[in-house]
Amino acid sequence: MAIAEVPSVTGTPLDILELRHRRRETVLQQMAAAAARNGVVRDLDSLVAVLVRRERLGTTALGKGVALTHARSISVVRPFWIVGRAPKGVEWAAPDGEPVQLIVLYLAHHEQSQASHLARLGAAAQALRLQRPRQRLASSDVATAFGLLQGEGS
Amino acid sequence: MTDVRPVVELHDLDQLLMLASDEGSAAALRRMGYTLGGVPALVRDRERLVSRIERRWLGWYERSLGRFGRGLTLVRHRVCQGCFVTLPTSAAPPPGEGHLHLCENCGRLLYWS
Repeated sequence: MAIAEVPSVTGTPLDILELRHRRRETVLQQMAAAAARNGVVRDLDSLVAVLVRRERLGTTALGKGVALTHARSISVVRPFWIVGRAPKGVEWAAPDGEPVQLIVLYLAHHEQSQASHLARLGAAAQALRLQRPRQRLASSDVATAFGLLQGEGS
Repeated sequence: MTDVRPVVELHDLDQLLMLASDEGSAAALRRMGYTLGGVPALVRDRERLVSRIERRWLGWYERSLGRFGRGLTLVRHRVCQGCFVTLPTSAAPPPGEGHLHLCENCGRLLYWS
């Protein structure tokens, strides 16, 4: 077995994507597909469906060019974060009317408690509210981005 | 054999609706900056999904939801993740396929993939 095939035991459960698309649904599909490539998705179509329904519940854009979307799904194998960067902006029905350039997706396993899901989401939302972590997320590597979303260094 | 996907989608949708309708969770989400005005649209989605599910599976789903707080439970390594009883090998789905199964021990509707 080549060394490259040995899975990392210290790997960060996060991936960073450069987003090509300009539509919300397509971006969600691209992010869900990235999660599937990371082996954390049991059923891709069901995951996309719940992400689209989450947007139907109310936009996940928080303003200031940021969206923090999330799903707690039986289609998710283990918790995972995806940071999507869209320099050209994506229309996300934000409360301030601005397109989003930074989209964070948090995927939680359905057995994770609602309280734990909300706690992780809350820490990320708090970090994203501040300008410095937002700017750092837009250019950071995987490990730094993960730390920022856990509320470290904000 | 029933189509598994609508049941899986129904499970995730119900979890989302629970999050939005629980007062504490909804308040926490609002504090984060979210709006949650789309509950009626999701309820309509739920009705559409329910109409696509075979009556017998829907009955087991609703029973599991009412009794255990979630309509669907995973099978991991041939073990029901609700009651942790090992399921018979003969009940396993073909590799790569997901299917629905009823746990004979606890009565939970299982998603076996």
